[in-house]
Amino acid sequence: MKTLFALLPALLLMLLLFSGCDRNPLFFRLAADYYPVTVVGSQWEYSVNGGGSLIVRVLDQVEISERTCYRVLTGGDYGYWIDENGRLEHYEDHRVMFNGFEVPLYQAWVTWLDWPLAVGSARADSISTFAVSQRVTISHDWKRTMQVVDIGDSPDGRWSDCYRIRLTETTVNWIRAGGFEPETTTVSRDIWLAPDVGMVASVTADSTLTLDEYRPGV
Amino acid sequence: MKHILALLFAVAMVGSAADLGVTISVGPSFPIGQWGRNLSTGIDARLAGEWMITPSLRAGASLQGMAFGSTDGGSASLTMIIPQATVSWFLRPWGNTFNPGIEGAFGLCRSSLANGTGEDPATWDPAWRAGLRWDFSLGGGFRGRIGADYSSILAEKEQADSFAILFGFSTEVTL
Repeated sequence: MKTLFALLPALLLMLLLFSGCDRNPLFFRLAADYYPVTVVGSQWEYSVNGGGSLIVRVLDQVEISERTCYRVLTGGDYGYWIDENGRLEHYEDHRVMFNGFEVPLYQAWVTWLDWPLAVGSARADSISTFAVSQRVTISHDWKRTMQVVDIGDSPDGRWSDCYRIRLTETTVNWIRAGGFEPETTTVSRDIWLAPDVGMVASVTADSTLTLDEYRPGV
Repeated sequence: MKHILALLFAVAMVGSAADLGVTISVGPSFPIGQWGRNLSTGIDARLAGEWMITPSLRAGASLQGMAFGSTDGGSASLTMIIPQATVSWFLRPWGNTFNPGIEGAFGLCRSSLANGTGEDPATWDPAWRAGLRWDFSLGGGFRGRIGADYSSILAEKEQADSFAILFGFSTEVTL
């Protein structure tokens, strides 16, 4: 009986310690940066299924629409990001080609993610606007929905504690002139964000991006 | 919750021959480290029952709750519930205005993160805290208590430390 009483505190201590090993590192996820685009020089190299690669690099800090942001080169396209006050914002720059001219339709900062991420959390952003070019009205409707689907490993199993996010973007451009019909584009993709690495995989119906190498900037 | 009440009841029964101190305290809690990068200052509230083994030495059980919101005033919230065993020692329990003491606790923390309609799986992790107390008489059988605590949740991969300032009052009951 005495032995049992002596063992009881040890058993209790073991129970308490093992209870922390349930593979659910919530505070690790809270501490991690799931989209580290605020370090100049960081670079991600992705391979594209079927051949090819994509390089994403944080170039520098610039000012866009009176806000200081990070300029990111993705392939040949520039993107602009701000990560502050608990949210990640992306500069939406929507344009359309019409009669050989590039017509700006919408430019503004839109929240991309609300930190901290949690499974099931979702956000939807939409705009409805128009522009007039060469005496023709072009209407533009855009909607983006994002939902955190689950937590787990990346598809290639290389990264753990990833948040999988389902992102759907629908754009309807309509040149309001004879002979033109609304042009609808819908892109759906699942992306995996790894702690302190960022996007490690992106899967659409017809393509898969997989992170090969990540070099954080200094 | 049921287990906590049972534990408090057990402590009360053990201490029925002596006095039982009941303390309620509340105060701001400040995350220390990267885990609080997207969280604001939180609130810490506690209900404790202490068996007064001697006038100076007390042991008992406490239920501690902490809640943090998101920095942008958004919809995220992190809540923690910690049932714990406590031990405290006071230098001058008879002191009207100056009764400094120390308090320590060890328990299990249930942490739950929610954001909008989403919620991460909850986790249970060992947790401890230690701090200083200044206890003084408020009259009418009540005592005031001011304190500061350093606490830590021993979670996987990243431990969550925080600092809390506490304001509370206590009274003695005999069951």
